[in-house]
Amino acid sequence: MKKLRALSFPYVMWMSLTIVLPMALILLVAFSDLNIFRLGSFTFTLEGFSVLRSPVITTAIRNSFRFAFIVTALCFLIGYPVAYLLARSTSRHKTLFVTFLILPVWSNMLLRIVAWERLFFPNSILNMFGISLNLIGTDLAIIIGMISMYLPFMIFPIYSVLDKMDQALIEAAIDLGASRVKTFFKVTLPLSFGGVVSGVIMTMLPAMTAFALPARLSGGRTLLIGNIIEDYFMRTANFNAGSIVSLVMMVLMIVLYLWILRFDKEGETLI
Amino acid sequence: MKKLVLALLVLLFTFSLAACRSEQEVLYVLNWGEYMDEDVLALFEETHNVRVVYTEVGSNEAMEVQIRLNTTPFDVAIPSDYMIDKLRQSNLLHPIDHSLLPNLASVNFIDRARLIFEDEPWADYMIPYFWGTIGILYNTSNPAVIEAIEAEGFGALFNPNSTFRRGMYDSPRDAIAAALLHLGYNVNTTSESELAEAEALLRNANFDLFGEDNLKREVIAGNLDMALVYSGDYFDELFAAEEDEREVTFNFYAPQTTNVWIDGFVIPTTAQNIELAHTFINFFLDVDNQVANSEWVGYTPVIQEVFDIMVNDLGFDDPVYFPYPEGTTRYVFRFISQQHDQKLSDILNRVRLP
Repeated sequence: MKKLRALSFPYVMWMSLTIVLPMALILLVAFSDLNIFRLGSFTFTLEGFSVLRSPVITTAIRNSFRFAFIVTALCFLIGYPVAYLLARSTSRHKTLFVTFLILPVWSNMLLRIVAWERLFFPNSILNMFGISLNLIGTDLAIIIGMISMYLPFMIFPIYSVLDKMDQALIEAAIDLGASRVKTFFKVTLPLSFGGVVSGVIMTMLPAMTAFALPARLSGGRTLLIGNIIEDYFMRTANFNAGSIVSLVMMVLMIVLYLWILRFDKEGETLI
Repeated sequence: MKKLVLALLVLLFTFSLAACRSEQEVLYVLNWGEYMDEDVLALFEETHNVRVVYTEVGSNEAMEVQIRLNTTPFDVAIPSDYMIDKLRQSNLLHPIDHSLLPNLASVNFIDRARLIFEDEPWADYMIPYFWGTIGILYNTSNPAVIEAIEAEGFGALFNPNSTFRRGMYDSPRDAIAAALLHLGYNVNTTSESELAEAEALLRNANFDLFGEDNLKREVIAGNLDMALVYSGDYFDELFAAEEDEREVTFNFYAPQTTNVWIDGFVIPTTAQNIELAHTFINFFLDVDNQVANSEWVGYTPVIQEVFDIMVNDLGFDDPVYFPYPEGTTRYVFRFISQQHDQKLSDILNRVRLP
C-alpha cells in the first residue's frame, strides 16, 4: 500500500500546480492591489470589495442563482421520472436508450448552444413548418438551453443509484402492505437521495457559472455572473475585481454545496 | 516485440514532425476575426518559408488583454487608434523601424487617413492597415426601416418607441460613441452629465441584441431590422453576397457626423521576432498583396494605390466605401485613462439591467 502511495505523487503535484496555486493567486489578487501584469510591491486592501455594491454585480449574482435554481428544479422534475423508468425498464433496448441520453453530451457544448440560438431566432429553419420562435433575449431561451445542456448530468447519477438498488427492499415493503406510492416515497426516494444530491450539484454548479450560454441565448441582454467575470478578465483586464467576484461566487457555492450535502445523510454522493 | 517497434515508430514520427517544425521560423499574429485573407497569409508563409500562428479576438480590449497576458509571444497585432496609444503609454509597443519596410517608399497613404495619425504621438508605433466608420447596417426588405433611417439617422437606432428589431455593438466604446453622436456630443467626452444622458439613451432604446460579428449576419438573415456595425462589415457581406449571386437585401448608412477609426500594425514588446514582424508588415505594404487582401476583407484600405485599384478596377465604387468624404464630420477615439475605459464598460453593463 505504501509503495502505491508513491504513484499518487504526480497527481498531487499536478493538483497543487493547477488548483491550489491558482486559488492562492486569486486570493492574493482579491485581497491586495497587486498588479498581475507588473509584479512588484503591493499592499493588502479590502478596497476592491466595493465592486460588490455595484448593481450590475448584485443583479448578475441574483440572475445566476435564479437560473441555477429554476433549471435544477426542472431538471430534477424531468430527470427523476426518466431515470426511474430507465432503471425499471426491462426492455432489451435499455442500453440504447441510455446511449441516446449520453449522445448529446459527446458533441461540443458551444455547438449545441449555437444550434439552439439559430432555432430561437424568428427566422430559422423552423419557418419551414410555419413556426417562428422568437425567443432570443427571453429567460425561457436560457432555461430551455440550460436544461438541454445539464439534464443528462441530473439523470445519470439518479439512474445509476436506482439501477443498483436492492429490489428485495421494495418487494419487502410491498409484502408488508405498503402501497406502491408509499413504497416509492418511503423506500425508493430516500434510497436514491445520494444520486439526487450528485445530480443537483452537477447541474446547479455549472448552471451558476455558465457564460457562453446566457451570452448567446439572451442575445447579450441578460448578464450572469460568468459574463461579468469574463468581462473583468478578458475585456477590462481588471484582474483584482475579477478575482473578488470569482472568490465571492466560490464561497457562495461552497456554502450551497455543504448545505446540499446535509441532505445526503448516508454520504452516498457519487462525487 | 511488435509493441516495441510500434513505440519506436511513434517516437520517430514525433521527432521527424518536431524537426520539420523547428526549421521554420514562427510569427505570432493577433488580429480581429475575418480581418485578413487566409490565402494572402498562406502566400506570406510560402514566400518567406515561415509559419504564422494566427489568433483572433473580437475587440480592442480583448487584444490588449492578450498582449498584457503575454501567454503567447505575439509579434504583430492590429489594434485601433486609441488602443495603439494606450499600449504605447503602457510601454507595450516597439517603435516601427521604417528602414526594415522597403515597400513603404513606393506607396502613399490616403491624405484623409494620414491626417488621422500623422501628428499623433503614436504615429511612430504603427503602420496603418484599414480604416472606416461606425454606422447602421439595415435590412431593406421593409420600406419603413429605410424611411426611419433616412429621416432619423442614428435616432432610428435609439428611438425608445421603435417597433423595429435593433442590435447594438457589444463594445463600450462604439455603443456609447453612437449614443453621444446622436446627442450631438464629442465621442471623447468625460462629462458625467453627457455620459449619463448617453447611458439613458442606450437603456431606453431596449436593444434586442448585443453582439459583435454576429450583428451583420442577423440583419441579413432578417432577425434584426438594423444594427450598429463597422463600415467594413457591410462591404464584407455585400461582396460575399454578390459573389454568391444572392439578392442584396441590406444597406449601410453612414451618418454625416460619426467617428472614423484607423487600425494599424503594431509590434508589441512581447515580440520575439521583430525582424520577421517587419517583414510581415512590409508584405502588406505591397500593392498586389493588399489588393488581394482588401478584396477579401472588404474594409477600406489606407494605401492610395490600393484604393484606386479597388474603386476603378474591382467595382468597389460604392459612395460609402470612402469613410471620410468631403463635408462630413469625423471624430477619432482617444485613450483617456484606464478608469475612463472601466467607466464605459460599466455603463454598457448597466444599460442591460432589468
